[in-house]
Amino acid sequence: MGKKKRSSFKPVSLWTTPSVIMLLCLTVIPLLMLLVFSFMNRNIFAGQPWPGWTMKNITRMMGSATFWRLMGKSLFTAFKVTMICIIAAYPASWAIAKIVKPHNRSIFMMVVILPFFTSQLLLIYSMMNLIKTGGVLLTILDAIGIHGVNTWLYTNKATVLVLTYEYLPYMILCLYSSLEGIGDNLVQASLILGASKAKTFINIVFPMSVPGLLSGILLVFVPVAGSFMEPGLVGGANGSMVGGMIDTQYSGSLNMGYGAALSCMLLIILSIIMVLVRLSANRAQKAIGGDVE
Amino acid sequence: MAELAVNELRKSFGDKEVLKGVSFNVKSGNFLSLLGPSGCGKSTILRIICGLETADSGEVLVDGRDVTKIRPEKRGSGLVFQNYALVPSMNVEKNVGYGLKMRKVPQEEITQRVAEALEQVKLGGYQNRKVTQLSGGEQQRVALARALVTKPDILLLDEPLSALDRKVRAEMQYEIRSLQRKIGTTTVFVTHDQEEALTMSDQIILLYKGEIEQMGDPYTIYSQPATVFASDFLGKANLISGKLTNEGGKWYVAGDGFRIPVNYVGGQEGDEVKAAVRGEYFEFCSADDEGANPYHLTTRIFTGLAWRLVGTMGGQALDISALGNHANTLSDDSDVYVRIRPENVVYYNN
Repeated sequence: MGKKKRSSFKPVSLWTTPSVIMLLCLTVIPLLMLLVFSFMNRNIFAGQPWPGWTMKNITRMMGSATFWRLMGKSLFTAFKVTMICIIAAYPASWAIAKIVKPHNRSIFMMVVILPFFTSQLLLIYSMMNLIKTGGVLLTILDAIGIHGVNTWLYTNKATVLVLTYEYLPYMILCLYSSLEGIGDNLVQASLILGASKAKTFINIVFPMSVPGLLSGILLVFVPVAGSFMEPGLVGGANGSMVGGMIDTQYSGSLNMGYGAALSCMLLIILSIIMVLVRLSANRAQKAIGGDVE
Repeated sequence: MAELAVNELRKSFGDKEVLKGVSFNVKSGNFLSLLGPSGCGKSTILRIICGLETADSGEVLVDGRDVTKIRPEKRGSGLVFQNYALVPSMNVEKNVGYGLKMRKVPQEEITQRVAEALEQVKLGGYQNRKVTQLSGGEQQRVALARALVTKPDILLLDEPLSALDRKVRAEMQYEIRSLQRKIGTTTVFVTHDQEEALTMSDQIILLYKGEIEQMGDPYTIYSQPATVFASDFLGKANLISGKLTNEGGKWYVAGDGFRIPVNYVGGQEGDEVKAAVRGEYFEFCSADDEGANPYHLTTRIFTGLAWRLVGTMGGQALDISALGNHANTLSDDSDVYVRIRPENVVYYNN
């Protein structure tokens, strides 16, 4: 095998062209369009003249109490869902990565991934069936003697429940990939050096799982903060979140420019939060692991 | 410094019995090696001593105190793993100081003791290095410093050198040994490498299939292997079959064309026995010397340190190891005479 032959398979810039084009068409250009639309006077419809620039959308957004309230609610809901996912996913992924025997692991992974095989809408409706009045959950509670429980359906709790149910697998998968790489003898070494299990978690397992945790947070927090279908379906009359408001601008009031402005603001706020999360994770890691030259 | 005693340890994994009642003592400040092939239970013993594994029965005593039921984090033993087990998210200082931090030692003292420990393992000034950027030998030094910095009663080393290359390994053998002598921590060292066990230990326990085959200081274990397995595992001895005979009050293992003198340790005259003899204990002699046996030399192999002579005695294969001088003058396919002293021969009943 000559060296020359192999070198011709080296990735050259040409090879990345398809992915660059895809990224450009499906991510960069739409984002730029969103930004441009935020400053447009009215909707663009085929055949109409250029609508002209305006700051109207921005000022309206800045002054909209509803928008900021819904934004706060979205972020708080996303925070709750992410926290529940983290707390629930650590033991689950630890169990799959460390306690389950290797040859049984794929079965457990399959169970985690199984919800992905069903449409999201179906997942939501099946969850609604579980928690509605007269549904399985309340019937069981009734049967074991717990009466008078109000249905959770059409409350914010239902939104959190359904979103957690939908996004937990992402968190489990992300944490699993990090936890799997932690050697058993690291944990044993920590025990022998006098650390309790809790301290071993804080000092060894947690810092080493930060990469997985960060991608998990990204994959859960961001889509949950922007979700509109779940709050709309199970959140009830007061369930709407900022995603619902944006959705209304596009599908209901056909106010594309205002919707774009709201989307851009959501994007900016989420980016800032993600940067802050990453920075604080790095700081925590450094506080535990010490400076490196 | 502490005395370690292990009594009647038994352990099974499933239906496989890994330890079949192992007992031994290590005197304070001594260096004990648990030597044996893989699967002999040596690592399991170590893990039971530090509490990572619980024995089915038996007890572990440190200075007469029963620690069998104490959890690993409360035992205060120091353990060095084969693959170092350093925390990759921590720098060298945090790794070494981890045990002290868990014991709530004040930060100033931690800094000072970590510096001392790193100095001891010749890694002074490495505090802020990333452990993943160190070489294997350096990582193992960090692991050693981490185990020693808490001043453990017992230091446990689980094949700490087997992942290192030959040269670094020899260096580390010497350093671990001299460091251990200096600080005097009672040490249990697990290895499958007989040379390592011989060079480093005060005492060796040879394990085979969950039982102790032989216990003793390195010289005794090497020169007086108690069983066929021991003679074979430690530096491959020659096993020669013959009959136990007595001539004029002296005992021999004799066969067709040879007669090896032995010290009598039991058995009847005429018993079929196996004599274990190490190649380096043979010396060349002339035909009429006392105890001379004819040896047919087939091939000579030069190994650097000595010549390995491949040949036969009375039709049975016999490898002799000979230092330069005389062996240089021998030629392949020749007949010479060799003899051996009775204290260098052990025999076993078949």
